[in-house]
Amino acid sequence: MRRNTRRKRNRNAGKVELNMAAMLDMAFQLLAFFILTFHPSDVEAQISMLMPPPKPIPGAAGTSKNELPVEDSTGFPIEITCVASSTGEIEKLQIAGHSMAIGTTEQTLASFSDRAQAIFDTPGNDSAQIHVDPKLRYDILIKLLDTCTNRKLPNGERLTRIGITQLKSATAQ
Amino acid sequence: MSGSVDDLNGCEPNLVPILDMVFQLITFFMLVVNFSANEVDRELILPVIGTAAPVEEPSKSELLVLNIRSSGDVFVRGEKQINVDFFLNVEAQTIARLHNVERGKGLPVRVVVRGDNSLKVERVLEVVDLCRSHGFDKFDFVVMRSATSKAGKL
Repeated sequence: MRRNTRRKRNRNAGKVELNMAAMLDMAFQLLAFFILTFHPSDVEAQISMLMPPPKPIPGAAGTSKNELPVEDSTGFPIEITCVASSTGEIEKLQIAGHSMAIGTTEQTLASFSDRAQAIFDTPGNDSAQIHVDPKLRYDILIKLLDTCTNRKLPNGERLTRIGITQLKSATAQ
Repeated sequence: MSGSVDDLNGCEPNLVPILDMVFQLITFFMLVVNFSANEVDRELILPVIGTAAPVEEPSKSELLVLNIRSSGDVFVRGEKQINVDFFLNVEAQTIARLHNVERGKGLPVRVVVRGDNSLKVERVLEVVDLCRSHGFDKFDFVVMRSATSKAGKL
């Protein structure tokens, strides 16, 4: 009897059993936590710009509609002016004194893009000042900024030095 | 055979493969977890620009994320800022102190502007001009690269 007990004990001596159920339970708890806190975000892009603080023009004050703002725009050789309609669409768009033909937003920006490329290909034209009507829709301003920042300067870099100021909104239309 | 039969009256399933798969899933979710998600306001519908550059990762500068909703309210880290000017003033002073920035120099923080599609330029420029007046000079305007069901039309 004694011999049999020893044999039985030896047969079971090398076998180690681990209870996985508890570990699995904890693992499921962790998994549930991470699944509940998982929030996939949409693919986003960005338009990067360098906009130094505004410098006021001493003694400047304007009251007429669509007058340039009282911010010193020296150092920004290219002036872009965008006037909006009452619905927030582009009504008038000028770059370096040249007026663009106005169609749909996409058409206007496409012709603006071609004109801007020719202007920014000129060495020395490495920054722009955009004077924008406060009535303009934000998404249209973003498209305008995207068009400008997609321009490559002669040195191969993107145009990032852009100032934005508000036009004084037109009084009664 | 995935199981064992100890005796004729019972059998135990082998839990090792299940545990292995669960650990694989946990590892995946741990790698994609984002603890800074509260800086991003999910109520916003961003403008859609297919040609904009993707977000730079990782950013070399600190970021100050301003979420501007369609109502014009500004949310930072999930909280609505009643007095944006005061908030920016405090942030600018804190950043200048932490980074030993001299007066008049630009702050080493990028302002990330996340504005709703339906905003007017006036409100956005008001916020941007407030930032500029407090020394912030680097801006990122965040857009979406493709329309989702939430974003609506291009």
